[in-house]
Amino acid sequence: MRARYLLLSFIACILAAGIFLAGCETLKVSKPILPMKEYERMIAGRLDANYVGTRNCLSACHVHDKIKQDFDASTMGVQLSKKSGMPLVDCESCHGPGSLAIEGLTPEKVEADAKAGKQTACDYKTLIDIKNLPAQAKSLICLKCHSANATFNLHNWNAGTHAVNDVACTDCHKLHGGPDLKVKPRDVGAMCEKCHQDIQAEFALPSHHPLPEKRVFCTDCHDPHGSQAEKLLRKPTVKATCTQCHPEKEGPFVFEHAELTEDCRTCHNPHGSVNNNLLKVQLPYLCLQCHEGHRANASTSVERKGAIYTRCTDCHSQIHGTDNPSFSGKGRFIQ
Amino acid sequence: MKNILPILIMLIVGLSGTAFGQEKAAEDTETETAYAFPVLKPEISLAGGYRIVDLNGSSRAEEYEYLHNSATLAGAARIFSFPHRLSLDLDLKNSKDYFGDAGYAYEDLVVFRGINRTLFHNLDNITLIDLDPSTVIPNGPMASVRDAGQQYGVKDSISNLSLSLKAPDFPLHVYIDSTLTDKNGTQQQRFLGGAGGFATTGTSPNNVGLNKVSMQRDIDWTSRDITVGVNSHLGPVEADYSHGEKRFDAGGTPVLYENYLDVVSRGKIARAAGEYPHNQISDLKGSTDTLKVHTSYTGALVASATLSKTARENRDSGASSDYFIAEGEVTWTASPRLAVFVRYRHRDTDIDAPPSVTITDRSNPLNTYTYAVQPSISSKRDFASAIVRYRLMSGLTLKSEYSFEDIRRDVVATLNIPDDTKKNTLALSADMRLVRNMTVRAKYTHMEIDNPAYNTDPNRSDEGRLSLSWIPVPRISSVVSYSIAREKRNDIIIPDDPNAKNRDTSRDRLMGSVTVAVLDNLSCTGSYAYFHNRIRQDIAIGGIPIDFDVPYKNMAQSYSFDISYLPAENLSISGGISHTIGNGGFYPIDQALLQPVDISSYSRLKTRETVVSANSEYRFRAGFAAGVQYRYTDFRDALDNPYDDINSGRVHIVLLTLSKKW
Repeated sequence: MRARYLLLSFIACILAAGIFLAGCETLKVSKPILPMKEYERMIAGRLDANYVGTRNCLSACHVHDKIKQDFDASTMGVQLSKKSGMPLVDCESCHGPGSLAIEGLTPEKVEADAKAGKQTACDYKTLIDIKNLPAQAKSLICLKCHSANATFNLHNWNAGTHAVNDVACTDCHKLHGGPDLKVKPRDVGAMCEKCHQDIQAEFALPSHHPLPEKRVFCTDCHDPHGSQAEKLLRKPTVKATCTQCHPEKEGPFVFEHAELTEDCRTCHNPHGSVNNNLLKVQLPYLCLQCHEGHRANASTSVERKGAIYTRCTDCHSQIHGTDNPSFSGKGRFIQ
Repeated sequence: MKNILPILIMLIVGLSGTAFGQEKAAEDTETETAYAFPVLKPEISLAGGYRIVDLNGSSRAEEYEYLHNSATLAGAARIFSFPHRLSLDLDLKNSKDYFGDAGYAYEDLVVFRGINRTLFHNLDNITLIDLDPSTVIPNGPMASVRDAGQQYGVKDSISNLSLSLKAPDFPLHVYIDSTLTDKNGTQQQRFLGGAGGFATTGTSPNNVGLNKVSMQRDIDWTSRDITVGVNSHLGPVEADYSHGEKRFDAGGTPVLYENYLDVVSRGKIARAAGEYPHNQISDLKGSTDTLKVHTSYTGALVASATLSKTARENRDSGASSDYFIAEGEVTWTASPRLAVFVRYRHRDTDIDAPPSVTITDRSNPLNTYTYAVQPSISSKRDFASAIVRYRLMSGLTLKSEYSFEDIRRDVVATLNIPDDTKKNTLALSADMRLVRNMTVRAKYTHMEIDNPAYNTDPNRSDEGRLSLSWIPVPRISSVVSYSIAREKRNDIIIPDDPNAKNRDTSRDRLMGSVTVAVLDNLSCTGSYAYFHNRIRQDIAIGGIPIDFDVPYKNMAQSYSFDISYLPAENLSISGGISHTIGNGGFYPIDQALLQPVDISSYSRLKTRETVVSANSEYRFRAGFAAGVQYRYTDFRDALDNPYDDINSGRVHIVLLTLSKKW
């Protein structure tokens, strides 16, 4: 067994070594099976312009001083230096070659303009018109690096709901908004609600997760970069997502509530509900959808009807599953 | 799967050294003018304050606030001094309600992020229906309220910690991600005491031992989910392998015991009176192994695949579950006009319960009973979908999606759940830019299900959605969205009631919002949302024939108005008011359910919630600022139903702050 394992490991190493060494070659030279020429043309920039380097670009005028400062302090700012051991990134990595934009901008002119109380703008129209690119081309600017540097948060991006629906990286990540290129956790809700206002409205209902209160975040459950599960869920299943915070309901239990606990949404609306506990339907009707109610007719006493038809979970209190049999020996979720 | 980890690590770490050497040698021949990072002044802010709370009635009016006066502290720091990058955010309202976010990076080769949110969740003390034995019929149901007036709440703490280590000059990462949750406090436990059911407790068949109980339960639950992983670039593909371990420990009172009465069946004692366990919270453990591979380039044809295996075990009962998931995606961007997205997913769920279970009387171990356990449902699911996106012209994109899902179950016949369910779904959507500042999105989805397993699943559903966003003038933006869904079930399944057949559901949603920038420094937003859910279904109640087409409805309307005003450069004012009305209930038709009391009257609800907020901050010189935040919430049980789970309350919260920025 051990010899087989070692042999398998050796063969895997040899095979993967070939792939790996080939990988080092492709790290700097993207070699897609089918290039997206139309989009690549959009993000190549002016072919008659030259790369001038970040320092030349940013020191030509002082319009971008704040942006430069934020950028220096960000993750990508580190990549301005080869010493960092990170892939190099600078302004022209995204905006294209900048020589035409700063043409004619001399330090003397900048100084003279500053004395006259005005800023010296560069000819930004010669740079890539990122704002008006289609979403796929905008994202391609980011993906040309981020699809080859083992960023596994983008593992499901390409076929994910956002990519399919023309959402670009820059719709959420404000690269010049400050040093934080990631959205701060407590700002995530407001950002998502710009597009998902119908979901925002659900959080206004009396029973809701504390998202408006900024105690949980959309990204606790959803991965905006794509997911192997439906609804961009962060975990592979609905149950795995919900039990991140509600582990006591995860199970498995000796008595399971059929398969219902595999999909909590059978009974709960995770964003909000008029009913307590995020229930989609008020008890006892929720249960009566699948189960026969306990005996009640015109001769049944008011007390008995009241005891039975308030909340089923008053008695069936282990409705998510239990390890204890009820008095009948069956799993009635009572004990 | 476990064999893959050492292979991958050996492969990635061992060989990467050689590769790095080659890369490095090539790069060293290049000349680089060292980039000089500027010395950035650290940004630090600190705020202190006092929070005044006035509560009248139920604390559920502010479900997620710890409703006691407290001193507050907040702070933030951004320190960048290459190669270090440090960020800190802290918002401490009190010992039960705080938020912290800390990040540190060293050259971005070492990246740490830690986020903690701790909140206090006010929980219900629901009033059981008044069943005082002295006022109700002999041997009838009883209610024992052991927690009258008790206030419940749980301190919930969620921490997300991640640490990532990157190899210099090559995308090789080793990382640790963890989620730790901790719940500590008290909650109401409602359960069925007496005989634990409708069982008789003596020789008389009328001597029913039904006793509803409410009592306090202490909880101290912790959960730890830690994942260790490694990933790297491997030429045309990139691979990530991770292993996760999860533990859940139920502290506090994980098992409750109750003195149950004799259970008599056919004149014999089926279970002797005694002290038996109930409402047990079990300890769990589990692990997950995940392998991800995707193409490492950006091109017209890209793909990704994920394999994961998850195991869970109930440490108290021995029940176990295993999940195997295989997922793959292929994206083909044929041209900027045409793209195709194909997904496939397989999920294998295997749940094993012990063949039998034993329950023992704690006060007399001789009273031990063993029962056979019905097998849990295991299943295999296959899901495949294809989306075609076509840009017909500039400003018009059409999408069509077809998906198929097949669920095969290992299920015992007595459960009346079909062993094979198939779902077919077709969705068509269009995104249009009608005029320069007006976009419309429309989507229609049709689904057919063969052999739906549960009554809440339809045989057929149709859903339409239309949303419009319009900016008529630069200062006004508006959004309107409407969705409608109709579902039809041909033949519901209620065990022992073959006459129950019909179920129809409908859902309507309307949402509108208008934002007006009245002035450059004054903007207002008004919003309205309407939700209406209806179900009409045959329901079965023991003792009467099927009650046909019993409707259930719930409806909510929410109005809100928000304003933001910056009257001066150093003064900001914002405020808002919202009002939400919710109601719901079902309406049985059979007179047997309406006399002598309508069984639905106990659960009918109507709530009104009004929230008013006002905030202002004035910034003085030298980075000093003073702020005030006010929030008023009025949550009302409009029907004043004493037995529903809605409790009225009013809360005023005022927060006064002083802050300083450096």
